Amino acid sequence: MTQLGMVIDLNKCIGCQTCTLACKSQWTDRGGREFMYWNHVETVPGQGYPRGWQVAGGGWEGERLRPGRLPRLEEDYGIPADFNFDAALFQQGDRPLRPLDAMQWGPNWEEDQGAGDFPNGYFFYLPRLCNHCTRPACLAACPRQAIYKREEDGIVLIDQERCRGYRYCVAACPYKKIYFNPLAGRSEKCIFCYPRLERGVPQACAYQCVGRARHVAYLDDPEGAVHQLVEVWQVALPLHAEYGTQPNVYYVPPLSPPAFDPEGRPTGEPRIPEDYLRQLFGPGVDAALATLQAEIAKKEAGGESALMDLLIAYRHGDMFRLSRPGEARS
Amino acid sequence: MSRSRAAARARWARGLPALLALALPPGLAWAETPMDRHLPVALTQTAPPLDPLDPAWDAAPATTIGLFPQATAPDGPGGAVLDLEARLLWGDGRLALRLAWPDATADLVDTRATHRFADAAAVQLAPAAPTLPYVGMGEPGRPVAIWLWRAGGGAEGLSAQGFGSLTNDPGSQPEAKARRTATGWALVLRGPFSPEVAALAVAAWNGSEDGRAGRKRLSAWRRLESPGAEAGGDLSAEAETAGDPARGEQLFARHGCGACHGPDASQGPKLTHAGGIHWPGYLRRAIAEPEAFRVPGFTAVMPALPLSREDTDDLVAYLMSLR
Repeated sequence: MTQLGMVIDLNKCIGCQTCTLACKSQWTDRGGREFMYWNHVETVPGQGYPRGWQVAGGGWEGERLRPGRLPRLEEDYGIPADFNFDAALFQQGDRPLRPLDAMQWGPNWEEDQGAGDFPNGYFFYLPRLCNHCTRPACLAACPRQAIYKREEDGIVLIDQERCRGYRYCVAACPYKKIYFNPLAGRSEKCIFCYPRLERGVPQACAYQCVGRARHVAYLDDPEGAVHQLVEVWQVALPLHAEYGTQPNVYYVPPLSPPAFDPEGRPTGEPRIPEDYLRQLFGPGVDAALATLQAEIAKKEAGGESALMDLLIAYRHGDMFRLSRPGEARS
Repeated sequence: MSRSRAAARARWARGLPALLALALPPGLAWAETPMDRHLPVALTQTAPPLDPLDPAWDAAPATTIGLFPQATAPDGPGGAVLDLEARLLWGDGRLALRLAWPDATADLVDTRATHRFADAAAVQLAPAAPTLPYVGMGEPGRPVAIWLWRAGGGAEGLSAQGFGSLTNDPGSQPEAKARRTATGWALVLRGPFSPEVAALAVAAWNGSEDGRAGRKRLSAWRRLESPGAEAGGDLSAEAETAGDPARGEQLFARHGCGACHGPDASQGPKLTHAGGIHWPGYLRRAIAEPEAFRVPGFTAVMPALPLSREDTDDLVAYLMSLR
């Protein structure tokens, strides 16, 4: 099987949610999907979306599926509230625009909250989507074999004809990136924009990214940025690899300015605690950050850095290589 | 088959036209005491009612069916057997079942919740043949028809030929009407019925315990006591449990069956409620050909044991005693 992968550079993500809206307006703006964000950007550290997904179970424990729980619509995803557009915009008076329903949660509910105390507060943005895992727990959990992984590109899909809404997949996904559509009575998820890919157009989230933060290519395409960043430079790492599903979305971890000591002098320690980054991206994060720093230093000194050139992405089109290795480039 | 049952069947066949001609109440009670693994169907001259509160149901004999926790599924519900009351009426080409069972809370299909499950019930129908399909969704080549009702969500007609093969069958869609009772649900499922249907099994899911898929309680096959059963294949050989259960228990221990199938073992499906869920003919086939009935999630490691006919009968008698 060949696997299409994505690398998201967290040093370039500005949390603008253009990816979120590109995805939403394309795939999830109606029909019981209003609360779903196949792609979203959350502020970390935090409980995230759905609330508490990192402690909701799922994934693998060796050869066995780890039990997981189902997120609740109002409490964990957040209801898609209607707003008083008519009263606020078209009626006399000075009523402000407000949601009509009392909202409890939503995607990026903890926007820019982060952690740490002044002057050492910190946060960064974490875009999340289905990882199109090599060892998908969702697929293994489905008693109806309604979930399959495409041979040609490794995209994980739910056969809507076979799905009967049992939601074992929702519980099993440790990233909580499968959503139950309560109106349709079936589960749905990110389709990696396969109808776009099949016409040679990159995923909406990646193509619309204003920060040029997302690279897409086959993992075994030696000239693709994904292979270069994951295998050669080893600066792109999977999120929570310990969940055991072998995710295929990778992250270039965030560098951060130095923390300050009580006298207000920079300490040389990064503001984002290394332990926190290790929790998310595993032990490889130290070497990845060191590589990034060394290559940045080269560039700053006026030298060359192939890695920096790759991450800067001077040409938008270079970020996407959608042909399978060995195939003629379209 | 007992002599009295054979006599009753003969009576049924002979008396049928006369009975239909009589101006009896809309329902006709089956005269014989319902036996385990049988289910009487009363005839009506008009269409059987859809409302569970219709007085016509009083004329249909009530049978108590034990619904046993699905012990085979890894996340089966556990707990005790649930008693469901079934009344069946056949008329105007349609079969209607009135099912009543306890369920403390009404869990309806909720289009504003992602984590809730609805109460549900299903009836599984098997065609007449000398061999009944496996009770869990049938088996390849031995299909079953299923009527599934979800609280607040209507009913669907489905068919299946083995695990994971459940498919929509819009042509067989039943009607459904449910009412809350003091203790649970009263549901009528009514659909097209052919006398070729020989047996029926019932399942119920409890939304409060996240019931769905295998997380349910189910009955064993019940042979329909109706003219249909007369016309269909003779299941009496398959229904046979004349063996010696005490000797069967010794055989079970001697062959070490409990190592995989015991209450605390996990290598094979638990047999805790085997007698409440399985059909004797199936157990006989599963013992002879274990690899043909592999339950998903389990490895096919069970050997075909060199058992005599008598040994198998005794073992089946013992397994049928497990409730």
